[in-house]
Amino acid sequence: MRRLIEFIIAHSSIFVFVIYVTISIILLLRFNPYQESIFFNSANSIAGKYYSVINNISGYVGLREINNELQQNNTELELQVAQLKAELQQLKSENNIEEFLQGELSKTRLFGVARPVNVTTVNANNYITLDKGSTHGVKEGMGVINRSGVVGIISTVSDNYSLVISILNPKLRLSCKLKGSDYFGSLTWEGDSPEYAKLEELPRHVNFNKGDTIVTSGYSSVFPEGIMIGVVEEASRQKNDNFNALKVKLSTDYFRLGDVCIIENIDREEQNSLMVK
Amino acid sequence: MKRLSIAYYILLAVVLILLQVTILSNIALWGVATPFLFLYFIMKLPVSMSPNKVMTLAFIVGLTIDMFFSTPGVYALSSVITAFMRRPYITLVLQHEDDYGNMYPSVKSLGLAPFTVYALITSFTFSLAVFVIQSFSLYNPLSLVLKVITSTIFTYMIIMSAEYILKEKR
Repeated sequence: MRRLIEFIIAHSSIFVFVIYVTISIILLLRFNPYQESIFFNSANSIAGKYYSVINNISGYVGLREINNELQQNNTELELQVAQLKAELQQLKSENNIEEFLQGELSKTRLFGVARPVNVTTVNANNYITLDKGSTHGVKEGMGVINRSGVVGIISTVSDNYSLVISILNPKLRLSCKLKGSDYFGSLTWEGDSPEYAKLEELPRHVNFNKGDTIVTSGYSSVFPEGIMIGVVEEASRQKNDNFNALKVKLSTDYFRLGDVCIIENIDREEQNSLMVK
Repeated sequence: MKRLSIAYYILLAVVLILLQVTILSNIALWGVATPFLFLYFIMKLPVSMSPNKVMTLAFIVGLTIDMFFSTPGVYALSSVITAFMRRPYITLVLQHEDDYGNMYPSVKSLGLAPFTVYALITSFTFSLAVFVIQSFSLYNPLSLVLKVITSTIFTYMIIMSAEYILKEKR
């Protein structure tokens, strides 16, 4: 027994090393963004507060450009509204479509606007921390978009902050399709560049061109159909020859994210309960 | 040889961690080279400090950074591995260990060439550990090698800068 204790003391550094390595590996393996592990992610209050302060300061840097972009967007939207109003007027007179449209649109609603307090782009798994949490009513599984397209999905919520799995995270797979066709595939990030992602499992016979738009398919319960994701950059054969894999240039610029919108699908729980059955 | 006070080390750790999470980890030159300046804290701990204490401090610092990055375990594990290798590395670059009882590693105490070797192998150990751990969820060998090499060089450069800036102030 004494010998054992002497042995342990003589080699204590190796034991300490093994203990710390074990703790780290347990942390490493146990962390799952879908579980509520508030403490060890940036949605915890200390890191969240700190990032808020830093973000208040650095937020001013890109304001001019964002303002310009917003103005442009605003003009475009105003034009669109005018056009849509005219179309709606026409349709109204043709059919009694009004009720149908309202029902369709109200399934997804804008939940609110939030500000990212921390955005990572260079890690293998990237997350975004938002300054809205459960006290504001944010729930796990809500979608996050900004003015240029899809940003991610909320995975963890603390009292005042929430953690978003961004598209730049291989743990997120998004169902999307070529705009104008009904063929869909799933979008994943390959981990190399924050500007590109890959659209896999698109049937081989689907025709597409460089520059075609990729939008959400509406098959998931998070995003409605038709939200912009990016444009086709180039195509490559997948290992399985029946499918194409497209390199997609993401429309969201994670380096200059600005304010984001949280959206909520009212029928989400009902949709998901069907899947469980 | 002069010893550094505990207050100095606490201040150094806080400043380096804040710099690391606010600015440095967002740099990533060409998307690959990340400077891990907080290693400077682990490097500067007194030579005579027991490996157990060094590893404990490295674990705490690593865990703090993990908390900011939502990457529990990644930085903690890499820091502990680096701290574990610190003793062998110091023995490697020191010629007469007896003379260095109370000192902390610096260019002045070790000499430029040994300190360079010390900084380079420490940076390399950490970069290798952190990127290998991250690549378990995302395997890309070419990018892994590139990230390790460029980050080692970048970290080494920024640690040497810190060494010279802090030396002039005293």
